[in-house]
Amino acid sequence: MALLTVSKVEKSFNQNKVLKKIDFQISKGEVIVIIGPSGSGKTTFISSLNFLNKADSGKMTFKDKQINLASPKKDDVLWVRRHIAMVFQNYNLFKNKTAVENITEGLIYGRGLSKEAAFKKAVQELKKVGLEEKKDYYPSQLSGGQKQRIGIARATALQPDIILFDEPTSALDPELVGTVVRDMDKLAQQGQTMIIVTHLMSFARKVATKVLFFDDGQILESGSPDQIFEHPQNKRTQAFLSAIAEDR
Amino acid sequence: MSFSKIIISLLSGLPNTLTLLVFSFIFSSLIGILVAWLSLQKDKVSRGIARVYTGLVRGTPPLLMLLLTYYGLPKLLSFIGIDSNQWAKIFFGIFGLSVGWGGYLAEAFRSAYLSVDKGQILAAYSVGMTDQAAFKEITLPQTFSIAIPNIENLLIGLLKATSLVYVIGLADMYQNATSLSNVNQGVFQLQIFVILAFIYWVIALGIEWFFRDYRRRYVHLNG
Amino acid sequence: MDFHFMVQSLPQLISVVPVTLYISVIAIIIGFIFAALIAIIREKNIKILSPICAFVVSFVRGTPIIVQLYVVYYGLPQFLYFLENSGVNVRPNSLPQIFIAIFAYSINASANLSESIRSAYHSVDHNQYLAALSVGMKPSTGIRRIVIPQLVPNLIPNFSNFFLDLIKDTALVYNIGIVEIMGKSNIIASFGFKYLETYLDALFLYLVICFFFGKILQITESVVRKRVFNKKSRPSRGYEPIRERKVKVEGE
Repeated sequence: MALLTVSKVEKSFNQNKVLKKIDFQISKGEVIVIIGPSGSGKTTFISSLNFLNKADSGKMTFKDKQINLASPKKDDVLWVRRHIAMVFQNYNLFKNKTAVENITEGLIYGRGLSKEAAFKKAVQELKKVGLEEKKDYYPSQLSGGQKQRIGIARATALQPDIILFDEPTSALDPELVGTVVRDMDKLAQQGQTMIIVTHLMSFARKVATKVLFFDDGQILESGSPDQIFEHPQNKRTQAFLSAIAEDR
Repeated sequence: MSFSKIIISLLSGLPNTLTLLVFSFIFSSLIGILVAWLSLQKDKVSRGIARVYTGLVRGTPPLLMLLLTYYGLPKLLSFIGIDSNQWAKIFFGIFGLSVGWGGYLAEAFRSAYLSVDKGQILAAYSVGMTDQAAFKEITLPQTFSIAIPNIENLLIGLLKATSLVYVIGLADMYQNATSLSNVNQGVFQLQIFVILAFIYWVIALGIEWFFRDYRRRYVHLNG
Repeated sequence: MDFHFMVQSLPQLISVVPVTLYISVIAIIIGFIFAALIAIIREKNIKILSPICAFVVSFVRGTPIIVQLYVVYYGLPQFLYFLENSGVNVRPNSLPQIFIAIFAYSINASANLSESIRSAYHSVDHNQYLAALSVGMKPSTGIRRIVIPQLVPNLIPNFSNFFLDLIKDTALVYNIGIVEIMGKSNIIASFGFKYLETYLDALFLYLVICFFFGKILQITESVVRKRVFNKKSRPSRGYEPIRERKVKVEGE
């Protein structure tokens, strides 16, 4: 039984069709990686799943609830956002809150926890990513890798059904990518359902249960990591993969 | 008193208003560039002069600036032996407004200059440009682009400030309005000033339109 | 130049400084409240009200304050007469000038400050708001806890500039008969034609007032900026302190 299904998702920006009737489905525990060239609509797609970007049309079934992507009810939107969390490319940590507060904000205002319970949980999450001692630090005082791991902690603290990752390592220096990747790997092994947009092919091969190739607003090919990386069928998939050959 | 009569009467002051606006803008820009340049120098004396000037101007009401110019400048000039009693009032108006607004323009130029991305200058050097070339081709145009929004606001502010020259007896649009209102002994006062306000507003809109058009045309420069 | 006269007249001028401050402070407070309302109306694009606000803001920002002062001076009594004729109980005849001044300057402040608030609001990275939504906060909560705290430090410089301009603009109210610094200067100066001396005294007072308020706002800005973005060494609340321990962190 699929956890999340969306069908016929469409989105245009100024006459430009960015998402062309996309159908997508993910089950509990799956890790789906989305690859593809820039501008293919990957970010627009996943941000439409938590309504940070409103699609022009499409239907969503999440945890057996049906929601219209183009005109969702306000309560439905809040409900979805409290069960689907996001990790951003540019971390987007709240600049005016400390590391620990970044996590408690969502717990208190998104999940309704009490201040004490939220703090307990937040510190626990920071421990998990090894950043407990930075809990009172502000984002401006932290490195990119630290910020991103706190970004991940902020998402996992909410215990969401699905976590969306929008190119989580693209803004990081190469030597910091490893730490973030390790955290994401751990999450996958713990059974977290994840949708990841990334350029890291080796990571994708290791952790994905399914890989989707996105191009020009459509899913051109989908399959297991082996199928996509070793035996791509679609010409454009092949072209894309050989263009980033050094990452494999 | 009919609507059109009021407008004609007020507009007869427009030439003075516009003259004050244009010349004060030119001179205050020149002063602004000079003071901004001083404020960016290495030696303390230049920077001190710039700071004192800017501080003085930021703390002085434009009205007072005009009055001080009108009463003080002749005295200063008389020390150098120049007799300014015959000089037209408009000169004092332009001088007072220029000195008063120069401080604001200096701030606008200075902060725009400091906002230019340092990487741009490094890139210019890396392709072999000399200091002067880099300044002329890269720094100066970018400073100008960044400063434009502020300059637009300051120009509109200057437009409004021209109404203060009544205090030295200069006949601009505002002065015409007050004489008109006095002559009519309170009957049409509200109409007179509302119409006057609209005239200023239309000019301000014109300035805004001009700048918006400029921005639209050169949007590729400011990306 | 008569320095003796300057020193002598200074206390007389100082005696009316409270009038200048009174008008400025009341007008900025009222103006700020309405400016916030206008900013909200315009950002939310509320039907009918938003374009009206846009027009009023553009008009007020595009006309000289002295003209606005006279429009209110002549217009407000007429408006009150109109209300009285329609049965509302007001007394147009007893409208004190200071009320007119505060009314006019408050409107001016509302228009100008609403633009400052809007520009400070837009200066906050939109992604901060998206991040707030992504953890499930309601939009209003996100704005309240994340956007507004980051907006305030960016607002203060513009606010400070406008407040100083407002104080300087009060130099015009002598035109409607209020005796503040400029009014008093004119009165004193006319006694012996000592214009330059009196005006220099007035200049001195304005400089002191502007310097004082400018400094206070500057300090406020750095305090607020520190509080919002960088509250170092503040222990976390509600928890037992974590023991000082070197935590081995991978890769950092």
